[in-house]
Amino acid sequence: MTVAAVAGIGETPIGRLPGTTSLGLHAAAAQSALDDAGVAWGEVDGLITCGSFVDSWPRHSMVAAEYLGVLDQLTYTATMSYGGASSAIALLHAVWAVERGDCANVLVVGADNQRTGQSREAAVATYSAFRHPRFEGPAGLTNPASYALLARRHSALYGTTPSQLATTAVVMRSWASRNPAATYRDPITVDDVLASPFIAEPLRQLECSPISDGGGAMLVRAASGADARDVRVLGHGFASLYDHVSQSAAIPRTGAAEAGRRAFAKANLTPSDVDVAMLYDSYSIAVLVQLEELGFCDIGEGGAFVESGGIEPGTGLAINTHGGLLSHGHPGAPAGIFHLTEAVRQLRGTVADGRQVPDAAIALVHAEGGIQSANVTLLLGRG
Amino acid sequence: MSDSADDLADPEVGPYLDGLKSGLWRLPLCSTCGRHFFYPRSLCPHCQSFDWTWDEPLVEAGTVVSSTTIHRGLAPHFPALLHLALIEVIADVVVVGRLDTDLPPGARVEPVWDGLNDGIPAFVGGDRP
Repeated sequence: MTVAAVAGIGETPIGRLPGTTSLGLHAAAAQSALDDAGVAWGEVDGLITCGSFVDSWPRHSMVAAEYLGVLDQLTYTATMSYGGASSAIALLHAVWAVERGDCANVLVVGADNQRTGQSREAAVATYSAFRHPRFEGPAGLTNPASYALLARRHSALYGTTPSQLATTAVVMRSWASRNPAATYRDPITVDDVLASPFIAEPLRQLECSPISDGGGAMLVRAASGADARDVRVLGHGFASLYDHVSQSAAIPRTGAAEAGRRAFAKANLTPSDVDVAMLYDSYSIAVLVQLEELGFCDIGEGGAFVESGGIEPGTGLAINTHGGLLSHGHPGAPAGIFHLTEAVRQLRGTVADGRQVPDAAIALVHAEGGIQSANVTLLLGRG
Repeated sequence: MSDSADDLADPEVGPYLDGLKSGLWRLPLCSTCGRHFFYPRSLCPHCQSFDWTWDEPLVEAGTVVSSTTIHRGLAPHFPALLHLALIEVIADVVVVGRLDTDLPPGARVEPVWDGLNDGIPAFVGGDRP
């Protein structure tokens, strides 16, 4: 049986990129991944995209393929629409398309220019429009306010403190300070986070990821068996308890626990086997929930875990070594692709600037879309 | 946004919104599994039965599941400080509601019937006189 592998990765810069377009960023990221894999445009027969909040094409991947000039050579194309989980699900579909023989070279691309392509008001309205149009939206429930509901419930149930939540943002900044590509690199303290203004209580500005321009891409093809740079999906899990956060009285619990269990079972691994974890840090609270539900600490202990150095760079569990959504950047739905490209670099052992986790053999990537609504856990290893 | 005659005539949610407007909870009750469900829809999400009726349970108080005060929201459409909560009205029914002040999870709240208000119910703390 064919085993698929990620053979190439590529990224554009991230942050504020005036003069770019959403599809132009797709092209730049794709070119970079093809160069990395040594694959020519003419060999691409699959394209999976993650949509765009700026370009609302109904068939996004087809428009992207047309723009790239490869549409007529594709045997499979799809647009994944799972918010922040889109790129992880796109990677799974790419693997399946190669392993069942439908495609030889599948490009997975996620990119958008929401920072410069939309006003702040339009961007906030875009995210708010994802709320239930009748039972959430008219209340004025925003994206950060929805995560704030998780955070406040977490604090009420487990005694999680503001400084414990803030610690996750401090750790992301610490990693970002070692990544020249990251948007925000000046180190911050817990006091800095707690001095930043409230967005939606208890979440403050430095606990909420920014809106960025940028994108990434991966080239998936059959594992060669000889290329030490190949990275494979060893196990995956999807699980969800709700789509709209107001449909659950069980918050802050999410589908992450079951997604993680399924991925670990398929890969025959446990949390203690993970060398580096990429968690979807859209907000500080998301990191605590995922640390707990993925089994890196007990349920309710996420705050104490991070406060006692559990994710301290260099000594604790290495998470989001690129700086995460909070400090590296967050270009909308495609944002999770940078978790995947950094995971691949970690497994190749090629991360620069003192961020390489020694002998990283197993990486976990958790992606979530909505308000921790769609949960996808991937376990990655060398090909 | 939801004050139009079209919304009140919506076959799935119109009776619920009309209940809010009239000052009562009109909620779907499944005839097969006996549970309420929310939001209103064509089938019971607990057991997938299409056999359900509109119930009008007497609800005097709800409980805050979680809450937040929004400082940076959708200006200018909403107040500068907006207090919102998930409120469990009755078993299996959680709604997004407006609060007049910030109340923590677990707080007891009472509905305030002051019109349809875009279909978002309003509540006040239950301990006040």
